[in-house]
Amino acid sequence: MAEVTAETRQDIERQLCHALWQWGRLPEVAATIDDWDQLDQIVFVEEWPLEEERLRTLKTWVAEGRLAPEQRRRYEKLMNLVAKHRPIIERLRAR
Amino acid sequence: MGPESISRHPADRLIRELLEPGRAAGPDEIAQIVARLAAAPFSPRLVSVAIELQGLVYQGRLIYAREPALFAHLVQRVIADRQWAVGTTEQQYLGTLRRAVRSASARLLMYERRGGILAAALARTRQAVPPRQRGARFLPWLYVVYSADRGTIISGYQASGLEELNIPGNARWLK
Repeated sequence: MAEVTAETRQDIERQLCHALWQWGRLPEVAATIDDWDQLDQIVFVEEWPLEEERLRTLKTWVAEGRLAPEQRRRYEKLMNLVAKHRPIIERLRAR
Repeated sequence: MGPESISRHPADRLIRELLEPGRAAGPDEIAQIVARLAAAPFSPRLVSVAIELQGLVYQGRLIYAREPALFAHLVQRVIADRQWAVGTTEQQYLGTLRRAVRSASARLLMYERRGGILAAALARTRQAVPPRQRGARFLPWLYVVYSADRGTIISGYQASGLEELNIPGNARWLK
């Protein structure tokens, strides 16, 4: 397992929390986005590539063994959310 | 957004016009659009901040649930995404976006998204962001998104490649 500093641990925690929040809220986003301010709608879709970059970063950290066991469990939960909710973001990105 | 609040700036009208099929773009017109994007302010709107950033302090300023878009984007790019370095100011962040738009090799494109008319610039991060302002996870490409409806920059972030960006297939590339 790679050595993990307190700063890295905090960074992993932040990335994991943000990814779980974004992927977890997609059903609610899909249900309400048409009522948002138009710029909020646009920015949400335009900035989604950042979430894909975040997934890549987390995947690298997992491969390097940087996640604590409890973080690894939440990462698995994230992967389930990604698989379940990817069709939602694909639909939103297509509009 | 009602039609009365849509930007009537000549360059923004030109962007809308150029999205019409069959309308060619001359070099002067492309230069006019680049100049408009490079001088545009960041959107002045208040926007929501990601929950894990709320309550943190950046540059002596407490981060609230809603912040002006420029500050909200800056703290997201610095603290959460780590694309820009800690210490980067709002003006420095905006400066890098403007430098990206102006860089000689920047690509320029326009498209419609969710009923809004957008222009965007794609440039090499190294040509726009000085080494001291690059974050721990800086990426090779810098993407700047501009609303021709509002006349403001609405986003600026880094990406690992063109294929990672969600650019519509019918986007019009001007350069």
